[in-house]
Order: sequence, then structure tokens, then C-alpha cells
Amino acid sequence: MALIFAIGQSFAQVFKTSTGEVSFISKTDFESFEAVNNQVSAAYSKGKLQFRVPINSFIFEKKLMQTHFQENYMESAKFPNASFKGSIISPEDFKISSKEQQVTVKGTFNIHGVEKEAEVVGSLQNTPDGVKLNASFIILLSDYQIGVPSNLTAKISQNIDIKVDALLLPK
Amino acid sequence: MYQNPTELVTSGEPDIKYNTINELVDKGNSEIDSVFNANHVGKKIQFHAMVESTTSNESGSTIFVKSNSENTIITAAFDASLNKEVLEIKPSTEIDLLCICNGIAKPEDPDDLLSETSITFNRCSLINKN
Repeated sequence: MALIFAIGQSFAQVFKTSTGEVSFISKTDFESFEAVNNQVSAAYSKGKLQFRVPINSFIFEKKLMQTHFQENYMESAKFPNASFKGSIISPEDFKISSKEQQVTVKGTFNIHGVEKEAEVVGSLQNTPDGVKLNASFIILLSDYQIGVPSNLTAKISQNIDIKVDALLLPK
Repeated sequence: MYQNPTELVTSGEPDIKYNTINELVDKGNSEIDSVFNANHVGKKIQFHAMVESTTSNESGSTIFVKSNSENTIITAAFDASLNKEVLEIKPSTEIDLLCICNGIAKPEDPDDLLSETSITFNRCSLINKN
């Protein structure tokens, strides 16, 4: 069964999920908070990666923070999704394998309606369960015109730590 | 008020009620995305649908919902407190859900790897199952 699955994976060129996870943390001297999103769509094929993150799927512990994030900061009714589309630039001859490999992906983020090129470091690994994808990077809110009210700048960091964790299945 | 927790399981009266999920899908496919999303994102939506499959982990569970549109993926996410209830639902079961809509997303380019239209819901509650 494992051999058949392995052969199947080598011919299955696209790997996808609709239940990937993205989490972020904001840390300042005065306050830290985090949110998790389990409805991330992700796809990988032949060195290309794509993510789509429904903004309203981020869950915060506090209701008011949830509302402010969606309605004021991210304006999710106008920009309901954040996305990333890119290609692996390092290693140059990258081939996915059962060994976890660090990769650098160059692409474009679209967050809050603003596009910006970026390079993201992550890892890819072919496992019996699927392709495991992990990444972590920092987003600067001002790069994407995400405004923080002046009375909250001490409580909301401009630099947001983001983690991606997804298991992509062959399609 | 600042300390009130987020409602993780949607309750109360829906903002919009669809007899079937296909009505919502047809609307999503025929309307401009910005119009659909302005009217649906963040709203409580109630709809009747058939289960395609379910999945869960410690963070929560997801029902993949069947629709009449082949190239559309519809996911309804539930808080982990409902994992047991969701996992008991078999494929092809008809259900009524009350969820918060996260909007519609369509492929932007012909070569997009995410080549399907996606409609997502979260903080769902199970109103009824048959």
C-alpha cells in the first residue's frame, strides 16, 4: 500500500489543502496576543507555491479584538482574503524528498489589497501522509497600509510574526 | 466588554437564510466578488446542504459541503468543542448549518494552482441533521 501511495505521489503533480493553519503573534512590552486560522488553502506543484487565507477565519480570544481586526484593521468585507504566490529560488535544483529541506520562496503577498514582493523561508518534506509545509516570517503592517490607531500603537506591534503549517495531499 | 470572549459557535437569528447551499453558490458565481463579499462577509448565514466529507484535529473540525458546482470547494469550520458531533456525521447526510461567512475567492489567473472557487464558513453550529 505504501509503495502504491509513493508511486502515486510521484505522478500526482499538484498537492493541495483547504485546512492549512496560519497563526500570528503580536508582541509589545504592554500586550501580546495571537490568532489562529485553520481554513487556509494552499497548493504546491513543481516548485510553485500558493496560499489563500480567509481573513475572517482568524480566531481571537477576545470578541472586541476579533471585531476590530476584521472590520477596522483588515477591512475584511472589502479584502476578504490574503494571499501569496511564489516560486522556490533556493535551492536551485530543488526536488521534494522524504528529507525535510529548507527552501526560499520568492513571490508576491497580497494583504489588505496591497501587493508586495517578498522572500519567505520555509521547509518542505514529502511524508507518507502528504507534503508537509512549514514557514515563518514577519509582516510589517505599514507595508500593507494596515493602520493602527495612535492610542493602540503601544499594544499592537508593527511587526507581526507569522507561522504556516500545512499538510498538502496529492490531487 | 473588552474582555468578552469570541463566540466560537454561532447562535441566534441568521442575517441571511438560504434554502440550499446551491442558491448561495449560484449567487457567488453570478455576482461580482466585491458585491457578494460586501453582502456576506462577517454575516450569519443559515443554509441546508449535503455533507461530502468531514475532517478534524485538536484545533477543530471541518465539513466539506457538496454543491452543484464542480469547481467549487465549500468548507464549514467548527470549534474543537464540536469535534465529536461533527465526526459522527456521515457523508451524504443532509444538514442545516448556521455559520459566519468568510466570503468567496475565485482563481485570479488561468495558471493558478488554487484553481477552484472557494467559499468558506467558520464558527459554525449544527442546527439540524437528517
